[in-house]
Amino acid sequence: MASYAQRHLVHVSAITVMERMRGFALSMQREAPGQREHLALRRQHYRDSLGVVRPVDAAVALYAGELSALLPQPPTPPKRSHRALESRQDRLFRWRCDILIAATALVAAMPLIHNNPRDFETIRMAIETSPERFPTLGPLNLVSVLRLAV
Amino acid sequence: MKNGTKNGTRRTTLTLPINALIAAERIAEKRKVTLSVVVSEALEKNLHAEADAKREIERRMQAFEAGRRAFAGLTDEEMFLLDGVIMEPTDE
Repeated sequence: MASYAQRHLVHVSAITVMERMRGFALSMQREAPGQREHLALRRQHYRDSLGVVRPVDAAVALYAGELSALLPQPPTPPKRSHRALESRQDRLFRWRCDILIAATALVAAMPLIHNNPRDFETIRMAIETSPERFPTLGPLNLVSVLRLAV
Repeated sequence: MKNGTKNGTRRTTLTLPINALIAAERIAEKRKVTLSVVVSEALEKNLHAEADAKREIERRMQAFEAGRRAFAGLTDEEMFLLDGVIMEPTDE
């Protein structure tokens, strides 16, 4: 991953930034006041790590809309662990975030580095099987973060 | 004049590829400047580009290190939340 970051300028979707910042904010809300400093420091590191942040512009919104119509429901169920469960509403929100992130990479013609193969592979296949809905775009190239870690 | 320098410049002899030399001479003629001006401008531009590329790699590595520090040592549960997965306790 370090050598990839050295060779390539990594762009980040504004949607990814929103998800991360929401995660940091929720984590901080859940911590006791005295325990929040380490999270604030991590959040600052995250902000320092951001390179180019790509916005959701008209083209991204247009193709995210196409993808949302093609794939209205997430391909995997809500996450669950031993005694906790993700709500359907949160799962759908996360799915739509993934669609916006994929549309951003598609419009930018950049490979998408991800840690969520099942969801993004579903999006990649939808683009490949309906090329008429994404003229002059695609394919969506996926790169697993696990592959970069090797 | 010290060590053959004059106005911050020094005469020297270079061996250049013929095609590059011909191209530089054409540019000099078109712009009505000396060959030395064209060659030194190209050289400076290249040196700056190299320094810029080095700074860019340093900046990328600093950003990568910041990203590593942001997420290092987090539990799966903490990482879930930062990935946008919000789970609530169940009664089961």
